[in-house]
Amino acid sequence: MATPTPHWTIDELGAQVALALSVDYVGPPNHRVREVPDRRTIRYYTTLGLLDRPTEMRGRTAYYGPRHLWQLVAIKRLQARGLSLAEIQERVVGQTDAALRRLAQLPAGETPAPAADAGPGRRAEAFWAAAPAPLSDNGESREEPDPAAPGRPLQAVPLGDDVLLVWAATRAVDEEEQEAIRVAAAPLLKLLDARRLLGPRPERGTP
Amino acid sequence: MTNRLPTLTDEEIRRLLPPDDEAGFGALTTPKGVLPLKALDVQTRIDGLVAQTTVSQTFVNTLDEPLEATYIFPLPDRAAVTAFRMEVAGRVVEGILKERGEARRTYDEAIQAGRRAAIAEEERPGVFTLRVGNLMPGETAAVRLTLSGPLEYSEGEATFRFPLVVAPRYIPGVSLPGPCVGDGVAPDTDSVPDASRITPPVLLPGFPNPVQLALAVEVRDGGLPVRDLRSSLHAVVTADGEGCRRVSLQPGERLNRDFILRFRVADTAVRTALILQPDADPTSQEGTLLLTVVPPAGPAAPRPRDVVFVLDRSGSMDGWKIVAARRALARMVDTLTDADHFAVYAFDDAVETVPEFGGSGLVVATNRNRFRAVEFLARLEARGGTEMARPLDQAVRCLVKCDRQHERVLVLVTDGQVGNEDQILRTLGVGTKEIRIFTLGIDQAVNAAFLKRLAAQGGGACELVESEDRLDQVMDKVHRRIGSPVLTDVRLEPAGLEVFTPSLVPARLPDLFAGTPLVIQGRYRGAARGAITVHARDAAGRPWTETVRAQAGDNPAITASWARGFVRELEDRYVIGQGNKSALEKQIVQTSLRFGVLCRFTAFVAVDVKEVVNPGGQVHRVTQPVEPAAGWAMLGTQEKEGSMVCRALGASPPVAAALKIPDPCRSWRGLAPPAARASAPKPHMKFRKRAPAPAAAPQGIDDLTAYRQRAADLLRLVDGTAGAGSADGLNALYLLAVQLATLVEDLKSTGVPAAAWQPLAELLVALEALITDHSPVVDGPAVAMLLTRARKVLRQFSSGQGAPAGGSPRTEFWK
Repeated sequence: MATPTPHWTIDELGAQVALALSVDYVGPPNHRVREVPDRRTIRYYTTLGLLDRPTEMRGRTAYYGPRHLWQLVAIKRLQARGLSLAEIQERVVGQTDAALRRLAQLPAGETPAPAADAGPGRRAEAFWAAAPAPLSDNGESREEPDPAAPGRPLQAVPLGDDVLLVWAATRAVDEEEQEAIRVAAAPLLKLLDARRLLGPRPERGTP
Repeated sequence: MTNRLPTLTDEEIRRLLPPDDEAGFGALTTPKGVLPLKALDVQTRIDGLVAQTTVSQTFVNTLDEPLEATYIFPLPDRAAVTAFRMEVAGRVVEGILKERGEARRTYDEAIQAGRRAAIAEEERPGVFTLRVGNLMPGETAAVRLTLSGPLEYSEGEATFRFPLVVAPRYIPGVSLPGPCVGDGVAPDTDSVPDASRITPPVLLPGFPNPVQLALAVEVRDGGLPVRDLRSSLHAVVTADGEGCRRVSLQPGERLNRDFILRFRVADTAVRTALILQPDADPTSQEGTLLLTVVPPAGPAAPRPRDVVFVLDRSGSMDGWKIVAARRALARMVDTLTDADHFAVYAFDDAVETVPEFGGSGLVVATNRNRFRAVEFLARLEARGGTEMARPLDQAVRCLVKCDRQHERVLVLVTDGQVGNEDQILRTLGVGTKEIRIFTLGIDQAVNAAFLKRLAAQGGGACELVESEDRLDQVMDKVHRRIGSPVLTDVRLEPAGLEVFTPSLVPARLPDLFAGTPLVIQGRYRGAARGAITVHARDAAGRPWTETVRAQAGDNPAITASWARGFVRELEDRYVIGQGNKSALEKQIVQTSLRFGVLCRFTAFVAVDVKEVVNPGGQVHRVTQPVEPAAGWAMLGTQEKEGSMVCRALGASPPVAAALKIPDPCRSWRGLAPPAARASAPKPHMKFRKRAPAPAAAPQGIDDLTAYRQRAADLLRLVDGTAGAGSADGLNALYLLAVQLATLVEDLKSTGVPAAAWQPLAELLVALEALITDHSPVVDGPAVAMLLTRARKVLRQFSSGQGAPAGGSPRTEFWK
């Protein structure tokens, strides 16, 4: 199988998309289509079959080829026409290179010379006999953190003069609960005090 | 004479709601769609408790280039695939079963040579990949798989389950370098080296139904009446001559869940018996045996139990599944007594335990501890990834150390949607041999194969529920399964019959529970006569024996069924790493080829040698995307499920700052739209469009009868302590608190107006206050007052006076 060329990292792919769109891109009617899809969006599109899997993984870096470019530009063009993602899926999933180029409105000569339609490569080994890795020692999920991950509201309750409890609460705490938390935190404050981890307190004697 | 078949209730509710999109009923095909799979046809014949099925998949190339279509699809996990053929260009090409590497080479060479070819491979028990290559523009190819397998049977009810979609699986681990081995969407990882083979792309809700589905089941009763046919999809039933009924799907159903057909059979349909089926080959001196042992009726003698409950609270459980899981667990915890010990683990990316239990060890199942566990469960929301191996490993290690005289049980409640099944089984290893594992699968497209494999390793059982209604139906059975068995230490002693002991399936003979027969398959040599004596120990620990005389069989499907089961046992041994791997592999391939059943180490390949149609073999590859699994809040297919939307309404205050706390979709690589998640701090917590449960909204709260009955039971419990001392009264209040917590949680989940359960919830708060009060002195008057209040509240609720008459406080609660 011919190696699809060229290889782009996700950032390079994004730049190629922006370049392709800059030609005659009028922008989406609702201005909500971001120019360069982020990592999460790329992954989401892959799950939907809108975008092929990366051509290759080298370490944690994924590499992409011209077909990915056509797919992304085609998606952007269709979004610019106001189509829903399901409608885009109907038009883009499973399409041939030629059809994608048409949807992307990219003349054949404009993008780097495409390799033969290789699609994502396949490893040839006897994967069915391969043993999975043993469980790693740390129980953490090994997925790379996503800075855009939304979270729960932070809640803060002052426990003393210079101690503040901050945590991701499931909801807001009321007065009564704050008081209960302060009472429950007494042993902790005692420990911090005993280890001399709290600042001097003029009005307090030694316990 | 056509009768409508009653469908499962949750389905009816779903159907009563107006469709959210124009696609669906009537929209059978994509007008301009290029997806290759056009039709799926499933024809099943059920004879006794065996199902014989043919599956036809029709692929069309609507593109203008030669095509290779890949379809990742499920089949019943215990079925043996025994034949494969391809019909293309007016010809029928029979598939040949070969060692998998060889079959793949045959296929690749045919494609390169420009010939049409097809290959069927098994990725997991129950997950398969089919490829059809060199399909020319405008051409149609139909592939047909033939399979047979046993029905699930327990307590007089038989279940035929035919899965229609491989639901998204959580893929742990780090990406492997280089290209992937399959055509799915997830990259291969060290934990799941074949992730790219089990992860088809997922269609968005709203995509027009791309596949025309036909499914028909012929049920032959063989002289024993079959009653109460029920189906999970819309179907009609027609009488088809004497003793035969035909169930067929109505058009327009989508491939987004398991097709489930349940029916009751007469008790006499399943009896203790030994059937010997000589091989069809007259030169063979061997045959297959099928031994069915129906356990004796009678109560089990309860032994103290050590139970670790493991709850999957990962993102895929979001929606009705986590609600059902919490309820199921709370009710199981509720059946424990002071003689038992237990622990509760809830996991996503990490494992959480009941905070008051101080670690992962087991605690005595006192009223207080059970109450704390139920409270802990009630707070759990679905979120994060499905890192399942670690909590299971922790639970097994914990149980192995427990008292051998106790029933040591691991209960796993999950949808089973993980890709690292092998890694999990390998991690648990032989530790599972010492304990019993019970798995409760909750999903409409459940990973049945994995949950059954795990239960079989643990000598236990697996129960699958696809709705909250079904959960209610099987809850008693679930309680029995985590109780004491009626027969233990089962072993077989053949007489006048030469049995190959290593060929027995299951290899680990499980303990027997009332109502569920033990089915053992194996191989024998010599004349088809003799007997097998079953030795075991009964509930009281006394020896129990039963001698079963052989009878001749007339069903060759028994042999394929045994072969598939045996190969599966060998595959599991291969995965766990017991014994010599290359010898095991050889034995697996040999057995698979000799008996003609597909497995992980073999594949069916069909090559149309008559014609070269695509010189050079350049093909455009398309992987068929699949429907989003029904009932998944994460995929946006939950809203339609009406009564399954069961979440307490509670708003978060405005966001002050954001911490990285997993949302339900995090770690589930790319399964939810990023935009939706970015728009709100916690989108799944938004007010959901509460579909009015038909019974609840228009007709008031008449359907609370079952809950009122439970309240009446609680009232009896409280009344039973009338006049007793305050210590007994306090004990009754503990018990009441535990059961009331479950009742209130259930009531909240029905979506009835809060006014209906508010008095009960307030009573619960008062009870909690009393219980968590650590004062050593029992306050007699306070106990008496609470008892009086409990009686009043319970009486009012159980007699239907709970809700204020007229003007409900929130009339449009579904908005």
